[in-house]
Amino acid sequence: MDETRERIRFILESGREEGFLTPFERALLDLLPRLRRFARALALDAADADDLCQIAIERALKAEAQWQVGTRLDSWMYRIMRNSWIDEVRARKRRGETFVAEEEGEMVGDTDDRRIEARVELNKVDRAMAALPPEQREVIALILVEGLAYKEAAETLGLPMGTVTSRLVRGRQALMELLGEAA
Amino acid sequence: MTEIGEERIIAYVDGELTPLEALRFERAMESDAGLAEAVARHRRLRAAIADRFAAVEAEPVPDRLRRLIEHDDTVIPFRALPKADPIRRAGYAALAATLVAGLVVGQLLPRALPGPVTEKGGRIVADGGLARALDRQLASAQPADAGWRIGVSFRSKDGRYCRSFEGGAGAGLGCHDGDGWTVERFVAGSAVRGGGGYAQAGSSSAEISMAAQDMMAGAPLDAAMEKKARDSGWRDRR
Repeated sequence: MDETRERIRFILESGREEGFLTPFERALLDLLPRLRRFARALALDAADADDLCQIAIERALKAEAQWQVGTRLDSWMYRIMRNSWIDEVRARKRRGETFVAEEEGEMVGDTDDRRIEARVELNKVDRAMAALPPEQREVIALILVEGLAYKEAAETLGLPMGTVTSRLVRGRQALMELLGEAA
Repeated sequence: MTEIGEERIIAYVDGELTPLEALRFERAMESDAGLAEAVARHRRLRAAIADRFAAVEAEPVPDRLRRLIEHDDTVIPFRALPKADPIRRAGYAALAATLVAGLVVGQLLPRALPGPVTEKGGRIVADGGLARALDRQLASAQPADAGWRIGVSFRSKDGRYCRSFEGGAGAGLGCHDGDGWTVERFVAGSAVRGGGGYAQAGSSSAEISMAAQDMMAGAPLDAAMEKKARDSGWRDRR
């Protein structure tokens, strides 16, 4: 009973502070730092990552009714974000754009200051992550960055366990090579 | 590290082995320096990747992302609360929704209106002018200067009479529960005053219309049925 009272107090107070959020919105807000982290591991460029977050949040708010109370909101959000990122990757491929990440820090032929800055900031880990194919990177992001169990990652991505583990092994081997003993 | 493959080493580092498998793995590590070194390498890799992005999690969240969630045009779905024991039967989410919703309604409704909602036994119920409008006002004959306009009246799937309404503060949906109108849904919106009454911006009205469609059993009440229901005190439940 104390627990219930505590929850009510929390809801009332957090409502007051946050401008009256529904429990769903409240939970989404609490998840934001982790969502940004996951977005950065996928997109690597800081500005791209926050844009990706924005798209995923907008989609989630529209699709709130599809989220089932009692299931994990984080897995649901990871899925939305990952799908949003795949859409973005495909669209850019169609337009023939290259990624900041794929050029591994070279600055040839880019006059966009923000991108150059972002590129310079890419550290060694970012560059190694950027060198991974997207399907390996998302597995690494979910398991190594977000700390999901293999089974949870497989469910989030809608892939068989075997596919997830083989991508994880290949991704890790590639990272190991790229980072060497610096890792 | 000849017999134990990379996949198993990684699974060990990631904590994916069963306790028995992990025990055997550790036993193998004791007598295999190469294996122990491989484990250490994979641990360092995992830590390096995790640390890099942990820094992102620690950054302050940009305001523009927070604002997406802390929007002003709040839509509050009121969950129908079971009468007996709201907490046990509907669970925490329903309780939370009701509380938050109650708070929002209380805050958002203009003070000029005579106390349009109140809380009663865990429900948000219509009060004052809104309760009177829901009780008495017929959609077919509304006073031009009515503070609340009634939209559609209908019978819900669970047998209650429900009516949509809109006014200065927003649009909503109330259902008669024997001793008053439970406000099932309320959308705060910006009304435009004109033509002697309030008209809600399209989005909040649309939101309420959709909710009404979902709850409705059959067709909306026509003028004669609406009058009959009103004269029965909205009580002739089947």
